[in-house]
Amino acid sequence: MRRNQQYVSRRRFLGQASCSAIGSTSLLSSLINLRLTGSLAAADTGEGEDYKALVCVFLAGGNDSFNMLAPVDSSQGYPEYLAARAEVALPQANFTPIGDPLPSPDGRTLGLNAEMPELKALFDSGKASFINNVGTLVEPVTKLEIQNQSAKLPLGLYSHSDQQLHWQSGLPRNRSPLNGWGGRLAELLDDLNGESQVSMNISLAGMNLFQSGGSTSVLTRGPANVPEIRLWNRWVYRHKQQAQESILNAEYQNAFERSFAATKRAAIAASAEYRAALEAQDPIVTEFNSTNRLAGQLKAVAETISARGPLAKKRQTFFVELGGWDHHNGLQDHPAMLGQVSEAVGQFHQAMVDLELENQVTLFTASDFGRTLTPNGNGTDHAWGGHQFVVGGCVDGGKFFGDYPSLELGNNLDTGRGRFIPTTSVDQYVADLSLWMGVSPTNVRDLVVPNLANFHDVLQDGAPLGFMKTE
Amino acid sequence: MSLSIWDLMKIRVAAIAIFVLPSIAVGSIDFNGNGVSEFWEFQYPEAELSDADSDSDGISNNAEGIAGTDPHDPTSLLFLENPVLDGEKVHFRWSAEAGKAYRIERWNPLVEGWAELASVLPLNVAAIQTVTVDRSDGGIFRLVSADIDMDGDGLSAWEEVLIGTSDESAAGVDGSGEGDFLTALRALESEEGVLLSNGAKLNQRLPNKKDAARFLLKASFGPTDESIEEVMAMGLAGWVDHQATIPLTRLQTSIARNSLSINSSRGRDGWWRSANIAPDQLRQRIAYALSQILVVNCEGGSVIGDNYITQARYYDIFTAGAFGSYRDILEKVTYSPVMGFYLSHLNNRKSDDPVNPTRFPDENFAREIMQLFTIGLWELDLDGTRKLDENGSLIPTYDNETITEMAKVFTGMSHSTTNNGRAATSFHNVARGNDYFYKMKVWDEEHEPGPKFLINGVELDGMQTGEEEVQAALNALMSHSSLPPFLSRLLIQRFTSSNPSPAYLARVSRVWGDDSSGEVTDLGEVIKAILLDPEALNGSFGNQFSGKVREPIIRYASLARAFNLASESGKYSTNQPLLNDDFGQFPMLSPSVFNFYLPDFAPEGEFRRSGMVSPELQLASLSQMLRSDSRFAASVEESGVLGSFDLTRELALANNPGVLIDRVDLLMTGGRLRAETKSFILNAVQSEVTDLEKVRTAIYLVSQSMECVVLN
Repeated sequence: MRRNQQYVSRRRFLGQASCSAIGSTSLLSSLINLRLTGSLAAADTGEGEDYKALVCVFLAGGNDSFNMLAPVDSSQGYPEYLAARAEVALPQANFTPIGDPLPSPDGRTLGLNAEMPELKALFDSGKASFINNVGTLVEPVTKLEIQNQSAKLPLGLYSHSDQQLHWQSGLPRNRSPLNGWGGRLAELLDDLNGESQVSMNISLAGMNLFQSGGSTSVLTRGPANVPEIRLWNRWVYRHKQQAQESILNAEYQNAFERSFAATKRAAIAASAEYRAALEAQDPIVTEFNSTNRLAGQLKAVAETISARGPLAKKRQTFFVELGGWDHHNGLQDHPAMLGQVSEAVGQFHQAMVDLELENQVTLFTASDFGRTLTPNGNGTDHAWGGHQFVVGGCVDGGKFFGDYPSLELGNNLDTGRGRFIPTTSVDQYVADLSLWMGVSPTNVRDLVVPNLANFHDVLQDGAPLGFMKTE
Repeated sequence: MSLSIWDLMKIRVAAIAIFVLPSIAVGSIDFNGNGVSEFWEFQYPEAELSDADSDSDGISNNAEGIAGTDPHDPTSLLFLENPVLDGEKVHFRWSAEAGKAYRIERWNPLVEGWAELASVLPLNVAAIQTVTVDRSDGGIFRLVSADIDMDGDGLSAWEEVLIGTSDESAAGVDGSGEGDFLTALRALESEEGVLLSNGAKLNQRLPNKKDAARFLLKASFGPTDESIEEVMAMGLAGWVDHQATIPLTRLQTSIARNSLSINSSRGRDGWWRSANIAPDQLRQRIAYALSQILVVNCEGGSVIGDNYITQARYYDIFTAGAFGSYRDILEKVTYSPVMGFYLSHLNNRKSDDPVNPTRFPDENFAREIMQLFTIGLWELDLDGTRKLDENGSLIPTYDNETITEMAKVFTGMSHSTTNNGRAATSFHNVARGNDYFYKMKVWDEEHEPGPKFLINGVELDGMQTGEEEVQAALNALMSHSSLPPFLSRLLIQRFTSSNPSPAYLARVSRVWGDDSSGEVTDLGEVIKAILLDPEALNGSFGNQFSGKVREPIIRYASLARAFNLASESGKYSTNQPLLNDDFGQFPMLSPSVFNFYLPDFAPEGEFRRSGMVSPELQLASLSQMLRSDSRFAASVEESGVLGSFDLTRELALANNPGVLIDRVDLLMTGGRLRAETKSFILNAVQSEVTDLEKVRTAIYLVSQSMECVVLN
């Protein structure tokens, strides 16, 4: 018998959830209300099941997103693209025009890499949008301020390890951040979740800063089955198990021993509960391409989301990753990788539709940095701003948010070789997602992205970019 | 106002071992970590370190150990005469031991702690010391005897006086040669023993079994009965010296000797064979450590990934160079087409137009050779501390301008052979698989012309050849002052400690010397300094962040070595995908140039809060924690794909479980299992019925103990 049957049918009866955060109240007061009533009964307010999840798709290495989304109008956009990208420029026909032309006086038309038909379909049906030229910033900066060295800049610009850190921490002046913005977000939301050994933050791609450091831990697992210790809980293993448990529960003077024992103890406990929760679910019916590495991870995410009932989850974050984007050469492989992303994202979105959760789950991309517009041969080098996309039923879809820069080399955003100063900060991007997850504007400003105030007044003006629907 | 007996109390010896002068760490030969120098303990082996007072002079043995006095001679003691009052002054006189530092302290009742009034640096000979302090309002005074290590070489001044070195110079009298700590260790381990300056003779002191095993956990892929005997016979320093003289085992040789069918895992199997049985174990460990700094990923599906000989030739830069110069290794890596392929400076072309280029030199290698292979992102002091500018900000070692300039240097690099080994005639010649065996060449036809402004303020005028410019760039990097602390830290983290103290890091950094003077650093000396440092050899002094988590693949190799995995067939097979999935690491398969883990990965919780790191814990995902446990279990329980263990020696002990566990403990943790852990394991072993199950249970559980997981 499937334990969540009743749960599912009730949700079906209620229909799809709306896109707004819980009513118009701040999360804080919601939490107080929930604590007072002693239950997590938001689902009974008539707005559908109160469940929300963020899925971070990290394209590790620095996606050359100027070949993902490029200006393709023949009058201005494509000629500029062609001139700047030279050897690595793709033919005009390899882009499919999408969306309306950029607002006047710009007028350029953007095209999506033709290897991404699933993403195009999502965009066209209003389920996906792009955030243009977004990157790590401390505060708005001009080229002049950078040139005369008066700008306050993220530390370690253009370096993989640092920019990954900053994207994930939202603290670009700190090289040893204690936590990531997902971890801080989770800390604000975890009270909505019920008792469980399985963290609300699940990574399919190893430890990451994004989810970590709050009071909530990160559960890291591979896309394969959630493992358990061989013979654990079996009769033949009982003596060994007793010894293992004693070892793991002992007190240790050494911090490495203490930390390792605690991590393993938590892994054993979480694994048992997680496995049981998954076993209690109907298998995911949506087809995922098993040879697509990203799809494999996203399938595991979908399975976990389907088990949110037994795992007592109202809010979750997920981290998946696809590496190999550091195209200093071999950029000819880039379109196929974009195709992989598109396919995986399309299948994941379909799974959410099949689970009737498309309005409750938002997927977004992130990557170390954009890459130089100018090539180094058949590749490109590390740069700064780049384009990202968001997918989900609550995305204000079919649109572009943030300015798409002119691709004219040497323009006032170009710090050299077409390394563009971001025109939208990671903080703004994160703020929209956090508000949708139900974090109050005050907490978004003060706790999730503390540099946001340098760009935007979220208390007065609401979501900085507005790419999530509010009704 | 006069002092009464109540406001002046003589405390002849106070047991405080740490001298609290800022930035001076205390060095000492103190293998057992009890805070008393082994120079004292070996002089008075029968003196029990406790509150007992063997010579009834009123000073406990413990206190005499700290004061450096003779516990059997009632006239040898730290004696403070009655203080003399002189107006507003108080004069103190006491018998000072040579090499000991002293402090006069007064009790501060307001904060309930001792406050320092005066400190006295060590004398070279025993003498009467006098110190005058302000009488002030009187109070309770005490004299503290303490150790000090002024030159930061890991030996206290007291020890240096006894052994005849100087505490004003870290290495020898003229600052050259091995450090004083190593000199002392060698003397202790020498057949003649040591004649101390006080006339006492210390006999040869060789490592015992546990010392030897504990050392081999760090210096090899795991202790065996044979290697433990070796270390016990040669001493730690002697064994390290000896390791450098053993003929080199190349990875290529191990692959060839490992007569398995040709398949894609031959390269990995060859590595596994070397880790298991190569006699030059230290060399193999150094090579593996270097492969985690000068990282390439050799996953299949590329011209590199599909050719195990190509990969092995790259790895053998490290096996062959393990005891050589880092400059040499860096050059070979720079010219290696494997690195060239991985970081894309192979076929790196000059810009297409000197005035208005649309194509620029590839920056990949230029960036990573600085960020990861030599100097890192931030200017460092010798002890690894990040330097600050006048505004208190970190100082970057380079900016993007430097990268674009350095990128120009590494243009023109391409194959030196074409079509399987014939000399190439042009940068653009097409190469085949085996052409990746040979070092690249700098072809001036595609080398960026013109002046270049490199790292460390080095300027090139553009008149040199490409080859000369590459050499100049490597020299500029090698002479950068951040290189020794940057690389020393990475290497220390691989061998002994995730969080070396600044003093330890400085001791290792000093070994690199100054490469700008043309001095070639012997990497073997650096490794020796890492392994034979007091912070690595001594007990941990209660420092809860001492040591490191062992790399899972090394812990697993240690299990295989201890119990002779696959000894019957003589073949070594890893079933590599399995191990890589279970442990999250396998040599040359790191997911990116950033290795399996970042050097400053700080696990959530107390590590992050304390500013401490544990790179290896970046692998500690739920999956890896449970799968690696299962891999150990399966390997012990079954004779699986990796072969089976030879448990003859353990089976002979099966009916004496305590002795059995001690043996496994020795091999797997260097005898560091705590009594509590042993009792847990003993219960499980005794509950098993058959001899084989007893032995397997003991091995498996010890392998999962925290003492085995963590190196200390």
